[in-house]
Amino acid sequence: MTYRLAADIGGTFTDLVLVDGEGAVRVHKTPSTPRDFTQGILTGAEEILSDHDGGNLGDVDLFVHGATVVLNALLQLDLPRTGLVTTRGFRDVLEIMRTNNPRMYDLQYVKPKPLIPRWLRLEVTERVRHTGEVLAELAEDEVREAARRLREAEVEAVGVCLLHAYANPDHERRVKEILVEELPGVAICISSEVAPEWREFERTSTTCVNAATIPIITSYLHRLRGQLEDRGLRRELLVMQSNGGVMSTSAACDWPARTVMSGPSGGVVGALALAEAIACPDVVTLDIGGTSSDMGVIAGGRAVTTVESTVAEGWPILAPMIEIVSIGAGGGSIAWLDAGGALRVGPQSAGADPAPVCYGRGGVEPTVTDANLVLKRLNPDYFLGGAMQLDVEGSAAAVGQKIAEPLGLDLVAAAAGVVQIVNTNMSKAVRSILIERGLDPRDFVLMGFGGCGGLHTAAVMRELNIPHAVVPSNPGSLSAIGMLGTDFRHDRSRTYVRPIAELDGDEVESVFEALEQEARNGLLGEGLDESALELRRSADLRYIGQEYHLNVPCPAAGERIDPQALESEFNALHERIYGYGMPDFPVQLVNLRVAGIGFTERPALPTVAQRSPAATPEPSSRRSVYVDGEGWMDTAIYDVEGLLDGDRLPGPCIVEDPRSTMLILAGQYGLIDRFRNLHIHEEG
Amino acid sequence: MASATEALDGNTRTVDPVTLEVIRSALTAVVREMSVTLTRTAYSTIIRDVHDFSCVVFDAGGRLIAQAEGIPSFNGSMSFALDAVTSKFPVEAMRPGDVFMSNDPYFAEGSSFHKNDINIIMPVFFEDRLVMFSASKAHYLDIGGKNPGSYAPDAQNTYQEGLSLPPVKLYDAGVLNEAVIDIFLSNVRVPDIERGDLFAQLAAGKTAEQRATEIVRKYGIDVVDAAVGHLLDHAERMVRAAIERIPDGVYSTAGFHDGDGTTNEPIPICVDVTVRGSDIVVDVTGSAPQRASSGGNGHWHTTVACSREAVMFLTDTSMGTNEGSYRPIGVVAPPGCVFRPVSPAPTTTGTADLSVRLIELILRALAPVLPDDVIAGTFGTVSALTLAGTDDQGREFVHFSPYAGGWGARAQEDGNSAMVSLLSGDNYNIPCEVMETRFPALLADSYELREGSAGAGRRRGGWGVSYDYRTLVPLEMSVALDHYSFPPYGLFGGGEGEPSALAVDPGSDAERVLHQAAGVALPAGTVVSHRTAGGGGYGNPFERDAGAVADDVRNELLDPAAARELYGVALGADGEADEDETSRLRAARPDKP
Repeated sequence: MTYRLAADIGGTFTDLVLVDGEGAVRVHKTPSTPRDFTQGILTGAEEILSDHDGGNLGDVDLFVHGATVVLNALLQLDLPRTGLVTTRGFRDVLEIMRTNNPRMYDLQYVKPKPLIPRWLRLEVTERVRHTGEVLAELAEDEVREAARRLREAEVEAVGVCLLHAYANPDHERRVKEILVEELPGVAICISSEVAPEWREFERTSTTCVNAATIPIITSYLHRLRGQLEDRGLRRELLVMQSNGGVMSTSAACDWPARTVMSGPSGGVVGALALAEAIACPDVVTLDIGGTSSDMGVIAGGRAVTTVESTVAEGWPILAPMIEIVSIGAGGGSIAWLDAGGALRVGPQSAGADPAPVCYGRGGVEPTVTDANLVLKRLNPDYFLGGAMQLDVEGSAAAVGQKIAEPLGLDLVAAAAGVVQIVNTNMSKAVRSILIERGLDPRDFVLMGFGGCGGLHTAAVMRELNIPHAVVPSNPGSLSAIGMLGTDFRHDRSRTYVRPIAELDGDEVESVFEALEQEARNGLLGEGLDESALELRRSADLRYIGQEYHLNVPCPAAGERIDPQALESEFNALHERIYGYGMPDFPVQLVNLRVAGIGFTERPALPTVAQRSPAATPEPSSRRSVYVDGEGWMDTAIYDVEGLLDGDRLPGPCIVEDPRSTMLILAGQYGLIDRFRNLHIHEEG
Repeated sequence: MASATEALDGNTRTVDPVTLEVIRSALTAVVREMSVTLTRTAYSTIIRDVHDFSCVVFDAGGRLIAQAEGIPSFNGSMSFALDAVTSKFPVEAMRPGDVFMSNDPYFAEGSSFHKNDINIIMPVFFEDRLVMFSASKAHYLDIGGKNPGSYAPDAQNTYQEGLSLPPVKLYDAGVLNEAVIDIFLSNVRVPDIERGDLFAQLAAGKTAEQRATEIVRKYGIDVVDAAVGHLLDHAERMVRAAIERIPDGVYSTAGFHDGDGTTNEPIPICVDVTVRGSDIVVDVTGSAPQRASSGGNGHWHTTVACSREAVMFLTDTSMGTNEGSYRPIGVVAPPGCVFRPVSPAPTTTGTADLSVRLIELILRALAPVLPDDVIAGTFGTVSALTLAGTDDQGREFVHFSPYAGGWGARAQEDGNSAMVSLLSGDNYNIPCEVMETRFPALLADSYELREGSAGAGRRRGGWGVSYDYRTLVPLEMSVALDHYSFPPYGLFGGGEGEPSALAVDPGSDAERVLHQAAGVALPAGTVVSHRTAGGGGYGNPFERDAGAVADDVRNELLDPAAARELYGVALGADGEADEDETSRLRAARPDKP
């Protein structure tokens, strides 16, 4: 028997998914080991394999994992000593940042500490203009002198970012050659390879993030791979990227900045696979965990991506990635009253420690999970399948004393208020991720997953007037499942600023070809076959004079670019997103992009049979549950294991799974599909 | 529900706390979306890169109900712009599709505090009923007048500062008044860019209209109105809670503004801050009479807005601010003084200087009773520099930008380095690579923290910034700095920051230092070095952690002699603080500072 295995490492739990050669899917949860995440993965992998007829790592064909080490290192600013080499006069770009105060009424705001201190940011004489013209030649002796100082400082990595290197990378390439020569064993990365796009702060930040995290991911992946190989793994260890694809260990060690959103993007990719299976091309995803909720968009069967995001409150990363919006709202979010007496929920979270009051681990602040318990949506005797008893009285006391009494509400109204506010926070975020792209929530299917997804999806869909929602089977494992179905991705781009009226088709073609060659080489280097590759071309366009651009797909290789068609497509897109287009205004090309995709085989989702003979399923029990807009109702409880394809569950009702709870409101009904996903619809 | 009814304050209808939060979020989303639309569709660097604009919505009664995070000094003054419109165009006569445009600093009580800021105001109708107004205010690169960029500190009257538009109808029931656009674009130096910016403001207004009507459709105008009443009351309570922490009393302080743009004669300014319970009054009576030249004059709007902003700095504003936030705040300024000049006094540049001065006066007055809340002196105004000329294709261009400098230190932290002014909030710099691409006649020679500029202290000020340009064609320059004669102040024994300066051809025989000037001709090949002040320090520098001083020396921001002199810190050969020698130095001068 051969297996495919995926591990999604969260702050609290590591979720694993194992698929065998016959397509049987097994899920497993094991505590994460933050001091050294490899331990949790090894333990989890051995547990899930040995549960499965005594399989071992030698039988694993494909092992994908979501690496959180890069994001954690950035959040904790726990980075190895890194240097920066830059153009003379510009070493402070990294510390000046963009000069804004993101919290405009906060005099106590503290700018982030620079990723690299000033004394390790060294300048060399050289200058290139925006046109690529060289104004001053590179002073190579100064580069060698910088190398000497960095060697003395014992840096483990060096980023190189020279002004306008996106327009002419020659100087950066030469600096790299010299540094490689002078600093053996030190990781070197240059901005024209990492992020060849204009805006010096954003490009420097990306380069420094990438350089500083190379030693971290390298040591982590090599340790993990070594330990897995000791235990028999013979195949490549693959790493999930922020762009929704996977890459090899060696590629990840070159491009760690591309793994920052490794875990959350797995959720969107899992949703994408599920969306395909159930034929829903337009989906908004809501992945609700303990401390935060992550949202993404699938439009027309593709995950919506962005080319820039910010990590650790201030460091931009220029790289194509699945657009994920995170908000501080989850099961552990704390409810509180502000100085003006308004009820607020989050962004502070009780997390895993001290955890919600009902976990009995010393938490005293009321959380969303406590409120759900007061409303009897959670079953205190069936949490983690009964492995953990929840403290109902503790939850009631916390919600009562901290919220209900000061507000003059009764306990239940207070708990319902807490849940409704967190639902509103999520709804607002879901709505804004859609409308910022000119998309109407009512045209989308809401897919709610993650450990707490099932409890909130029904209310969020109602608040957004979304008629159809899906809670996948095994909602807590969707990210790990997603990782097993991902493709390889190698994205390349180049800044290429030209008025569209003056496009030289041959030159555009040659830039595209060069980008495709780089992407193809990257994919072939992953061991993929030429026949499994697809190269997608696109261009960023804007009206001349505008700053922001929109991404427009371009015809594939062999078909020449048609400037007029490109322009009219851009006008239409602008109209759709911003409510107006200006067909008379000149349009400009800004960047050319190639997305290289190497397709892998997706696991088949396991299915369940239809009920025979057809009948309404019997609830496994009933209890009184507080239902939005209705109050306490005698509510049917279904055990997910007993549900079959086509079962219709009239709301209000609850579906219980050992790892999660799903709520369907009055006026809604649930439908189970052949993959045992729960679809929620509004009646009538 | 009880919490809401308790706070009714005259609202007759109750709204449950949850609906209230939902409506609050929805209104905030409206102004945020306006901002996104404006940024993404604007043409000028000043709007799309810098974000020099603000977006707000008002209810039908003209109460400010939501404003986007952006420029705090705009936010506190947006009501004036709507009031100017309604004083001329009665609300009852407004029709769907009406759009108002204005910038006149003196019509009614004024539409803007300087003419570069153009308001686009649109009534929002739902089922033929006026339910809200949207408004955006954005800085235009040029509005005509005597110098490119319309930012001349030596302007002698408002007419020299460019085109005035009292509130006019840009659209009348959906029909464009082309005459307005023609007059506007014929009076500005970069009409193509400004046409694009105007469309961007209109697009932001359209966005607001769509989202606002969705809210009204969903909840009904009665519920929205009642919710707005409660939201205003909540915001008011947040501000009152902040004011109540201040002991009752009158807190006074005085200072000087550096000059009026024509002369460097100091301009006396002063403030009395009176706190009674949860009310606060800012009174600038006693400050100098208005000046003849732009650099010396503030504006009534900024005087009100900055008094409000100073109080918001002391308040938890994480739920946003609105009209209710301002109810506890009174402002007194006699007409004819520098904080409230009368027509035809020029105001364009000085209003940005005096507004920062006013915030600093208020924070300084309150420092003795709020030592953990305030910060020491900042680098000051937006420090605008305008470089304008004609590019190689014969088109006029204007490069105008606010600049960043050092902020004052506070009780627990050093001051921030390289941040935009107290006025500017979430404004950004223009990246050098964007600047050179947009303005190929300019080259950035260097863009650095200004070594030695921070005021010393137990917590030191932030570092100022030094930005050197090189001109590639002949250009015309205007500059408006402050804190050049009167440097950023320290608090509780902290030192002053290094003052600002603009050096032309620094280090050459022809070096000139300027602070406030307009119409300066620069030949091709000139180097212009724009240097903003460092922030003031907080507390005795001899109490500063010696390791932190060593870090500043290692980072080449502080020289070893200054470490010894200002901080009493001696460094060993390894660059680390020499603890014994430091103790000796510090003990030898117990009277320091």
